[in-house]
Amino acid sequence: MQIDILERGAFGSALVMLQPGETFISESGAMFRASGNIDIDVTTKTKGSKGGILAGIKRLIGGEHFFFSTYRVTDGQPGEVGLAPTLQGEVRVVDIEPSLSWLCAGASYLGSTEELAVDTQFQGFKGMFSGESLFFLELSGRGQMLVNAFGRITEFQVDGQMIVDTGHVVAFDEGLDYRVTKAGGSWVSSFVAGEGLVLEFKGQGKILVQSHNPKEYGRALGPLLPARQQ
Amino acid sequence: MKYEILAKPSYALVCVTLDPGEKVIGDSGAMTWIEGDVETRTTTRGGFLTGLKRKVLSGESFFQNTFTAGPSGGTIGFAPGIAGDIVPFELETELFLQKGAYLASVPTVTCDAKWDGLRGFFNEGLFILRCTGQGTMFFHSYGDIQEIDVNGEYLVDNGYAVAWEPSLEYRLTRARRIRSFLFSDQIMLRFRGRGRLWVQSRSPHSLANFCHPFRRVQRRSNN
Repeated sequence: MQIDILERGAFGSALVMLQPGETFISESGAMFRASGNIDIDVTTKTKGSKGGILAGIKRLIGGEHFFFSTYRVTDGQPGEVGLAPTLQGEVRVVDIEPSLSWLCAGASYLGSTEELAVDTQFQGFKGMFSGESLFFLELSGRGQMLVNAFGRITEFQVDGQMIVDTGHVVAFDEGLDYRVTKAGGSWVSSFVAGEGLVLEFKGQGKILVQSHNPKEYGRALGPLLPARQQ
Repeated sequence: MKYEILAKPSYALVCVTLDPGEKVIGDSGAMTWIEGDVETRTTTRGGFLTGLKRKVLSGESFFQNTFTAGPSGGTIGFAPGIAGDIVPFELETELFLQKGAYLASVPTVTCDAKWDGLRGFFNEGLFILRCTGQGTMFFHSYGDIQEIDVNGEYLVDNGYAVAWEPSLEYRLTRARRIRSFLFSDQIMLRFRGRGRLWVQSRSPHSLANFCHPFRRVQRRSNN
């Protein structure tokens, strides 16, 4: 399998070359082009993960799709699948080793190779109450993950401590411990300041941060659009 | 006529340089600037009915502008309404475009709505654009435009096909298994034959769907 990133200006996308017998998994609906020999199916589970209906429901609560899409070739010939996110921004490949799992924000997950187990992790009630439903996909095993970002991705090698706004976290490795916390001194001042919740990371590891926050984009555009009926 | 595409592919704009007496046609609203000695005429190009057909059936504009250079020539910039890529194409006979994809062309290219059959109902609309004639034309879309040399079959998600050569035929298809159709709404276009196909990497419909939940909610007045 080979993944080409078509990095052209503001609209990144990925072209995944599949050999016979290989499978690629993506977020449902991410495919925009594919060679004619690609078979598209859906699944609730990935290899080595706890799959089934419960896993699908967990993803639904987290604002993702119930199913993943899967792609494989049908006729013994190589094939290709093009994947792209909704918003403009960068697409990047993350190599994952069995010794170090990665956590990926739900909206930033684009796809992964079949050897990676994908599980959903909830971040408890703090996230739920703040309206910023926080959940991560945990990817473990050996393989490649595709992430998408709104805007540009900046990679940080953390050694010690780092704070990132919840809406800007794309993915990070499990060498880092994190906790959800407030940005300001008190809960009230934190919400008033519009910073809501942040993630505080400790330890050593990599973090991918996106330059723009999709929710802020939506909040900037939403009021300009005609109101919708309830 | 010479042209240059600036700021490709994210914020593409085509800058056309006209020699004295040369003409170029632009979709209504596409003109960004005119520099030098250029006369603008707004017409329906082909009459009221053609204009109406173009507007109602294929989402293009009722009026199109004809720009004619005077004795000293001039330049004109054309940009689409939405950020994205522009592709220049040397039309020899015929090209099919997705609704709304036409940007500009030389006057020897004509653009007409073509009934796309009922399959269009699930696609972008019941009509597509059929460009005929000879010469340079420009089409555009939201996102990045990728050219694919199809030999055999190729699948494109519904709404992502920007343009294709007439040697390609297509039909609506769904993912092979019924459950993937039911649960992940993959209606696709299956192109067949040999020819070039251009796809866009982003969909304005998906962007609109993204924005939808952020709209204010209007309470019903009888509450």
